[in-house]
Order: sequence, then structure tokens, then C-alpha cells
Amino acid sequence: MDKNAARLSDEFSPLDLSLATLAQLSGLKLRSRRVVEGLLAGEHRGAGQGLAVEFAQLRPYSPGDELRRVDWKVYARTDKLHVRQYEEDVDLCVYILLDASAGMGYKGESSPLSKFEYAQILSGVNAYLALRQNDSACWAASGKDVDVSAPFRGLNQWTTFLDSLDETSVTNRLPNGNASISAALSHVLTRWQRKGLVLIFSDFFDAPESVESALKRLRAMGHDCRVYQVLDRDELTFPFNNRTHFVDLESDARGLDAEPSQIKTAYLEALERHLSAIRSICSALEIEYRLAPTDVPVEQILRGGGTP
Amino acid sequence: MTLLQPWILLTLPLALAPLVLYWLRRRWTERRSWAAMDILLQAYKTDAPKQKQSDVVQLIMQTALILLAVVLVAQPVFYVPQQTEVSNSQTDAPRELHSVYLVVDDVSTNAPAYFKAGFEQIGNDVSFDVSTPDAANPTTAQNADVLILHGIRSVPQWLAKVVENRGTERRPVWIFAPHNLDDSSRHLLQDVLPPLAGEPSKTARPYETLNPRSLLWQTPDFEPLAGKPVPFPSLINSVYESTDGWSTAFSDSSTILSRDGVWVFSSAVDGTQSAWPMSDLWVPLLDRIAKVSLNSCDDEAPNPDGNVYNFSQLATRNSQLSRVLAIIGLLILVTLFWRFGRKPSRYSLRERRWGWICFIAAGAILCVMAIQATFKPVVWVKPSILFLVDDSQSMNLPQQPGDAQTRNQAMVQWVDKNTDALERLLQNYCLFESSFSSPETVTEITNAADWKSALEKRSADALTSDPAGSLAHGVEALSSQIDRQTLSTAFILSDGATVGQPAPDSEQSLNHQRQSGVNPRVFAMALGQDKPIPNAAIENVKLDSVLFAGHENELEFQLRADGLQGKTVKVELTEKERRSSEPRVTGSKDIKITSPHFVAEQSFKVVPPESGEYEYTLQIVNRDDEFIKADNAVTRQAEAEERQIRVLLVSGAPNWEFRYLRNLLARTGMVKLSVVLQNASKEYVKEDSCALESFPTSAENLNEFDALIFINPVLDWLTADQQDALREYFSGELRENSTNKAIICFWNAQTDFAPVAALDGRLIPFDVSAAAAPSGKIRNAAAISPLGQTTAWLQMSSKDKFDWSTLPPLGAVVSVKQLKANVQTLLTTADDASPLLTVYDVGNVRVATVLTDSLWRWRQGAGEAIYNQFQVNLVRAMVKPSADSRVEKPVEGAVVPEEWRNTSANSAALSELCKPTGGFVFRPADSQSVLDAIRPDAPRVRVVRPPVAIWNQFWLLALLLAVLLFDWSRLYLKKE
Repeated sequence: MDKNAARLSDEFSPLDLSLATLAQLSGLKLRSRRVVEGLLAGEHRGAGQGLAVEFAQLRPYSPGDELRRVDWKVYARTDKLHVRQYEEDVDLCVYILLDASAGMGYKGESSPLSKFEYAQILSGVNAYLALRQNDSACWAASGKDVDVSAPFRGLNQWTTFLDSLDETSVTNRLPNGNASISAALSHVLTRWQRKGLVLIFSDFFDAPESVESALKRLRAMGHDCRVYQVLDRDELTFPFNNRTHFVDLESDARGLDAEPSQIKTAYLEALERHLSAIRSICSALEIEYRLAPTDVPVEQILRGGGTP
Repeated sequence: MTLLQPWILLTLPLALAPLVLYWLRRRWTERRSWAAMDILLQAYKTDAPKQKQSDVVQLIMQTALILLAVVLVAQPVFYVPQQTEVSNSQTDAPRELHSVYLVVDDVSTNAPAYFKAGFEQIGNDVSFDVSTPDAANPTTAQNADVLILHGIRSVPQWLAKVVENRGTERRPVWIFAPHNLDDSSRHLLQDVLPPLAGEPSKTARPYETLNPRSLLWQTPDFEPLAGKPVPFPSLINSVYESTDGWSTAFSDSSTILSRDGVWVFSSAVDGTQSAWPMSDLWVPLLDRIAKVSLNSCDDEAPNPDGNVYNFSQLATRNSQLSRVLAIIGLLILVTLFWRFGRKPSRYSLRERRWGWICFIAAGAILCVMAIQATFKPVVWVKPSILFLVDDSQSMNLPQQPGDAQTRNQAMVQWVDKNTDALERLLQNYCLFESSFSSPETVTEITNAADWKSALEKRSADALTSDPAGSLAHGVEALSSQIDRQTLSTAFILSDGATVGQPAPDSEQSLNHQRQSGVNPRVFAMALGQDKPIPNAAIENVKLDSVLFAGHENELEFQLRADGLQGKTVKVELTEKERRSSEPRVTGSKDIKITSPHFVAEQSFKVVPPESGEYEYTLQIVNRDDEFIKADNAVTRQAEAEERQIRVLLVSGAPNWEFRYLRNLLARTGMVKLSVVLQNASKEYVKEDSCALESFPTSAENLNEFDALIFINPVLDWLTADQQDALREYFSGELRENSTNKAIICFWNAQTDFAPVAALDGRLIPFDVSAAAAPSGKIRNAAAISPLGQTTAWLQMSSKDKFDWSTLPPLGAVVSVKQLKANVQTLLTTADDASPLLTVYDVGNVRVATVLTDSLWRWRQGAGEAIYNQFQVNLVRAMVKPSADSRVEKPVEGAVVPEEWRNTSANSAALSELCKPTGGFVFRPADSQSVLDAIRPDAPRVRVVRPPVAIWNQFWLLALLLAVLLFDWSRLYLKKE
């Protein structure tokens, strides 16, 4: 595991995770709070009963049932044939949806990474956790178009996962128009039919209504979901003093000359309203929400220590 | 308020500085890509209108703060357009300029001519007088419409009184002072003038500095500014521009100070030196000065140019305006830093150290402006010693009687002997010298030897100082110098001789200073001896300028003798006819001197033998022991005439008074007598005649008489022509040789004065309705009034006072309770003090009224000589030349200094001055004691200079603007 954990590359990539970082993840496991569907036996509770260690229930024997599953002890007590049923343990399918819109390319002056790069790292680490426990992982990046990867399984596939993710990030880092995470989510759900854990990495600067509808659909399909709202520290504190001409990263058509000190209060209030709306939506849909400022260590975010 | 104030024009760009800074900040924006654009736009829509309003308010407040500060210091003048209806009804027509008095230090400069040329263009009949400060006539200065002092360096004594008097009449005194008033000029203005005006310098209110830009001037003839009131510097600058090549230094360097009616006009550009354009600038300036002077600076008096100025209260009102502006500025400043300085604004003081510093600095400056702070410089200087040198002529008297060394020489010898000691004092003291005659002039002594040389030179020049520079002046000088805060010791080098008593106000001032804690020790070097130097002098010689040839005339004089007690002084009178060369002695007197300070009134009878011009010389002979011989002889000139006094005696009835008087005058050779006697009662006179038929019927005939004497005539019996001639007699000219015309009336106690008053009231000295009841007593004794005692011709005895009660009593007297205003009473009745003899003037006619016709009763017993002397003296006195024509003209060479009238020194007076201060009097030979009494290592003295206003200084405004603009520049332009 350790050999695969650290990728050796001549080129710098945000996904060049250090051994130390991975070591900090040793106690972490990626769990779904819901029943998922899996093809292989695994650590996660499946939707049906199968062969496994965990006893589920007894049911009356029906013709066609394998005789080896008859519980003879019960027959001796009741004189009726009953069949033992066990819960099915399946592998988890982890879907990673990465917001690759142009806005995610923002990188504050004091931040080490852009929001997208930070989201990539978070995605890679989550994929690591999934693959380490023999779950499958796949990703989708919502840029102008939505790229969807094939599922990866096994820790030996993690490097390949990262490579594919890395390529995607490079492609989507350029400003590529106004992309909506809601639309991207609707798009990928047509492909992610099997119930699994959906991890969404985005700044969620969409209208809360569209976000809510997309998440509702996701939940309706039975997916478990975890939302990471990735924001730069500048966006959270608005620390500017000099008069600034703000240019929209999503669209060149929008711009604003403003005195930051004068609109700071109003901006922070508006931002707080927006974040509260996103949080409320997630809470209502029983979706785990985590705010991920780009200057907070990844491990802290994964342990739930990010700014709520 | 005019916006043409150069201050405002000059600093207008600074008022725009906040706008410029704001604009620059808007120009210098950073470009930043932003993801949360929707949120940002949402926030902007919410807050932008409010923030824009806030920006505008902030900019307005910043601009207003700068404008307030500028106006505060510029102190513009407010004016109200004249309300014609009101002003026409309330004010008189503007006075015209009649007199200008210019006082200059040096009349040889072109300043007088330039002033004169300027004022001549203002008015045709302007009387223009020029004088130096010393020779100036205070009366002329007081009465002049415009009084200008140009470039004077010292304040004449008379100026303070003139300033005070003109100040009460609110007429300014204009002082053209040198630019950048140097120390002496400031001392002149701040210290000398107020104390002379009766205000101690310690509490002297400093002059208000009027910004010349506050004064508006109108130049109807000057095209660029025609008809508009403009600030004076604008006028000057416009002239500069139009005349090409003029310096613009004026607006930066001119000053006008105003206080108590004194306007000090100070400028680097002196119109008289640089020859301002006469019509464009100089004449308007003088015209303005004249108009301000003529309008008496009344608050509500409209100026001719249509504006109402409050010149007298301009400074006060402007300062009040400035105070209000400063308070408003403070409020704006606090609002700016409080309202716009809270988090999360970029103006947060909590995050800006420089913001706090600037806020505190600007607030402090505005507080200084609000309280209109002044600054009293404090310096530590050496204590000073003042040597007050008596430079009066008495210092030229001998140190001792018979001694060759004068008092002045003794003083110089003392200085010479103590040169080393004085040099030692110079190490720890500042030595100054002043003199009795010019106490305001103080000279620093830097070298004892040089000072000695200067004193020697003064001795050689024979002390050509103010003749009245006695100890009284010395006390004044000491009083004027004693308030020097550094003065520790004063030396009076004087003989103490004084002509009059020390001026009371000087003594009071000295006491006042002492009570105020200013009490330097005063030492005096007593020169001379206290006993007088032997001297005799002839003084106060009185002799009529016109004498009667062949008759006795009186020559009066005063003999003064000092130090000659027990001796006899011989005085000779010599008469010399101008055309003959030989004088002859006509009189001689030996006068016994009975006291050390002997003064006696003496007289000689002078009888010119014939008409002609004479010189009469009174001379003291045989007094070789005198030091002062110049006062031994006095010469007077007189003209003798043989002409007789022409007298017309008019009487109603031939009573005793008429008879005796007619006979007396007929016997007197100097009178040519004509007599008119009433020939009958009116009812018995023929139709073609009148009761006083011989009385002249024309004014020409009547004017031939020098004197008319009426003894109870019934004047209403005169014909109309005769009455007109009598009336015209009063209006005639002076007689030849400046003699008066005279009317002498003798009234009977029973006279009905109503017809007399109806004919001409000038013949009786009282109002008929208020007097004229016959005295119930018929035997009235005569008495002389106080005024009569001082009248020379009533002195009936040449030796002692004549006792009028020894004369026989008179008959009935007209009883008068109240005389007319200008009537002088010379004789009264002894019992009820009713007037008996009155004298008054009606034009050139002297009228004497005797309120009885019974003076002849004096002839009874031994009074005949008195009666004759009285009547002749009465006629002569009435026709005598008036006092104005009897100017005494001393002969050249006989001028003796006033101080020499008292030749004895007065060490007691000096001791009286010294003792209260802890000092003492010493003799020139005893120098060591006084020098030992002076502490050699004196500590320096703390001196508080006169306060200087700092709140309205330009540099303070510049500092305030710099602080504000620095802070705002940091706020707007600093990038973080």
C-alpha cells in the first residue's frame, strides 16, 4: 500500500500526496450510512440477503431452497423446515463528482491551492480510502461537458485513478463557461444507477433551488451523499482594501468596480445567507455537509473538522 | 463675503484636494477575478447607494473643512450694500478734506512731496503740513483731518495724547511703518504707545492684525476693477500687472495693525520710495485713507463707495467669525474620524496609528484656532542696569561755587575712574543708558570706555537738550523704564535740580510699579552742592509796545537773586533812541537782597521825550562774582507817540462828576477833550434841533474819538442819525497803533435803563430785567475785587497795596445782582459786593461802566490825587493796546536755560527717590560703596515677551492642511 500511496512524478501535481498525508489517513474508512448495492462481497451491507457470517432471519422452507441452508436444529425443535438467512455484505461504489467549472479555478493570494486543486486532493484521498477497503470508485468532472470515468477497484488501481483525475483537472482548469453543478449531477445520475456513495466537491455558487432539486433526485435514487463545499479563504473573509475591479471567472461579460471596504459587510452577509441555504438543503435531505476552506488540511476535513 | 480674497483663491485648489484624491483612487483600481460574483453583485446592489451617499457626504465634509480653515485664517470682510433711504436720512453729507498733517523723520526725502501731490489731487483746498516728530505741533496734529506718521523710529511725547484724543473721536492715526517691523518698531508700537496712552505695558492688549486683504477699496478710475470694492492687495496686484514689471511682494508682506484708533500700515512696498502710479494707486490709497478718517470710523456710517464698513470693530468681528468657524471645523473633524472611522471602514482609527496622530494634530490645531491662542515667548536674559543721565543745562553749572569743574565733567570723571568696575559688570549685566530729555531712547553700553567718550562729547556739546529736562523728567524717564522686566538696578546721575515739582503721575506710576513687584534698586550720584550759586537775574519785564511821548509809562520787572543774601544789587535803566547812538541812564535802583532765594517785583517810570522808537535796557551792574551773566540784562523795544487821546465827554447835566472830570481831562496834556452837554430838556428843544445837538451825527465823525465818556446822558434823545453813528462805533476797526476804542459810562443810581437798552444794550453790563434797582444805601465804600487786585492800572500805590476803604464813601450805586457773561468786575461796593466798576469788550471797543456818578466824593479829604489817578488811568487803560500786541521780545543773547533759575543741587530729592528702593545717594568721590552693593554674579532674569497671536498665522493653516491632506492621501492612495 505504501509503495502505491506515493506517486513519483517529475511534474508537480496537486495529487502528489505525501506519505505523511496518507499515513494520517490510516484510521479512516469510507462508510456509507445507507444500504448500497455491490457486485462483490465486501464490508458494506448489501440490499439483499446472501451468504455471509451475519445471521439475518429464519424463514419457512420453500421448494427449491438448498437443503444445506435448512436449519436442522430448528426442525428438531419445531418439526418444521426452516431455512437460515444471512445479511448480504457487498462492496461500496463511491461516486466522486468534481465541480470543474471556471469558478473553481480561483486561488487566493494566501492560499496554496486553487479550489479545484483542493477538490482534486480531497477526491484522490477519498478514492484512496475506498479502494483500500476494496470498494470501487469512479469520478465525474462537470465542466463544459461532463466526463465520467470507469469504476476503479483495488488499491493497485489508485494510481490509475489519480492519473485519470489529474488529466481531467488539467483539461478543465481553463475557464470554460458557465457550468452548473446541478446540471452535471443530473447528467451523471443517468449513469450511476447502482446505489452507492456520491461525494460532491464544489463551491456551490449555483442557485440554491437548482442545487436542492439535483440533490433531491440523487437521494430519490437511493444514493448516499456527502457534500464538500470548497471555498477559498478570500471568499470567506473578503480581506481586500484597495479599490478593485472584480471580473467574473465564469463569464467575461460580468464585472464590478467596487470599494471592498464598503461592501465587505454586505458581501459577508450575503455569503452567509448562501451557505446557510446550502446547509439547510443538505440537512433536510439527510446529506452530510462539510465546508472545506482550501487552507485547512485535508485530513482535518475528512475527520469532520472543517469549518461547518 | 467676497470670494476675491487672495487667500481663498490661493487655497481653492487645496479645497479640491479630497476630490482629486478620490478621483485618483477610483482611477487606480486592481483587477481581480472572482468566483462568487453573484453574491458580490447582490451585496453591491444592497449597499452601493448608501455607500455612494456616504462618499459624497465625506467628500463634502473634507472640502468644507479645508474651506473653513482657509476662511478662518483669511478673515474676510463682510459688507452690506448700502440702504440708500436709511443712510440718507441718518447721515450728513460727507465731510470734505481740509487738512493733512504729515510727520516724518526726515523731511528731505521725497515722501512729503509725494504725499502732498497725492492729497492735492483729492481736494483743492487741502492744507498740507509737514513736520518732524520733535518739531510737530500737537494741536495741529490733533485737529488735522488726516494724521499720518511716516517711517518714524521713535515716538514723540505728544503722540500718545493725540492718539487718545483722536481715539475718543474715533479718528484714526495712520502710521506708515517699515515692513517686517523690527524690534525697535515693535517696541514702539507695543510698548511705548500704550503706556503713553495711560495703559501699563504689562497689560497692554496686543495690536489686532488686520489682514490687508480684509480691507476693501474702490477705485472708480481704475479700469480693471472699476466700480467694485475689492481687497486692497487685489488692487495692488492688478496695478502691478497692468504696469508691467511691478513686484508682487505686497500681497505677501503687507500688514495692517489696528488698535485704539491707530492704524499701522506696514508694507515692503513703500509708495513714496518706489513711486507708485499716482492716479492709479497712490491717489486711491490716500483717498481711502482720507475717507476712513473723515467718516470717523463710525460703525454705521456708509462709505462713499456704497458699502457700510465696521472698521473699528473689524478685527473683533472677524475673530469672532473665526472662532465660530474653528468650532464648526472641530465638529466636522470629529464627525469625519468618528462616523467614517469605525470598523469595517478603511478609515478605522483602531487600525491606523497615523490616523490617530493626524486626528489629534488637526484637532489640536483647530482648538488653538478656536480659543485664538496667543504665545508668550519666555527668555532668560542678563539683568540690566540703567544709567539715567541728567542732560539738563543745570549739569553745566559748577560742581561747587567758584569751581571750574562742571557737574557734567564730574560725572564723566566718575565714569572714567570706574571703567574697570563697569567692565566687570558688563560680564553679568546688560548696561543701558538713557537721558532725562529723551527717556524713550535707550542705548546699550557695550564698552565702558566708549561710553565715557560719548559722555565727554556730550559735555563738549554743552548739553543742547530739552531745556525742561530737570529731575521731573528724570522721574518720568525712570517710570517709563522701570517696567523693564530685566531691570535690577538704576543709577541716576544728576544734580537733582528741579524747576518744578516731579509730575504727580510719574510718582504714581513709580509707586504703581513698586506695588506690582517691579522694584529695582535706585542709586543716585549727587552732583553739585545744595546751596545756590550766587546769581542775580532780571525777569518778566513788562513794557507797553506803544508809549505816550512826554508822559510817564510803567516798566515792570522782576528781580531774582540766589545766594546773595545781605548784599545789594544795583539795577540801572538805560534808554536809547533808535536813531541816536548814545544810551542814557534814566533810572537806577539799589535793591537789598533779604533772603537766599530772593524774588521782588520792581518798576521804573519811563518817559519818552518825544515820539520815536526806543530800546529800554534793564541791567544789573557791578556783579562780577556771578557765574551766570547772561541773565543780567534784558532789553525791550517800544514805540513812543505824541498823539493825544481824543475823548468825547457827553453829559446829561452839569453835575459834580461831569465838572471834576471835565476839568481833570482838560488839564491832562495827553487828552484832547471835546464836550457835549445836554442843552435843554427834550420838551423844550426846538423842532429843528435836539437835546444833544453837538453829538456827532455820522459814524466818521464819531470814530475820530478814541474814547466816549457818558455821564448820565439821556441817550434816547439822540436823533436817529446820532443813534446810528453810536451803533456803528462798535463795529469799527482798531485804532492806529493797535489801540482800542473805548466807551466809559457813569450811571446814576436813578437811571431808567430801559431806553438805554432799547438804544443799544451793549452800553450796560447787565440785563435790564434782571437788575437795576437803586441801592437802598447811599453811602457806599469801594472795595477792589480779586481781579482788580491783579490789574496793574488799579494799583494806586507803587509801594504797598492800596487800601480802598480809606477813601471817602460814595453816593448811591446801581444795584446789580447778575452781570452779563463776559463782564469783569474790578471794583465793588464794600458792603454788599455790588459791582461798581465793570469792564468788557464789544468787538474792538472796550466798555467800562461805573455804576455810580459820585466818584467825585473821593476828592474829599486826601483823595484828590487818587481820584485824578483813577480817572486818568481808567481812560488810558481803556484805550491801551490789547494784551496780544504787547508781546515781550527778548533781545538775542539773553536766553538763559530754565534750569539755571535754580542753581542749587537737590540731593534730598534724589535721596527720596532712592530710599524706598533700598538704594542710596552717593557722591562722585565715593564710588566704591555703590559698586560693592551690586551683586557681581547676578542670575539671569526670566522675561516674558509680549504675546504673539498664533491662531491666525499662515504657517498654522499650512500645518493643518498638511496634516489633513497627509492623512487623506494615505487613506485614498496607499495600497495594501
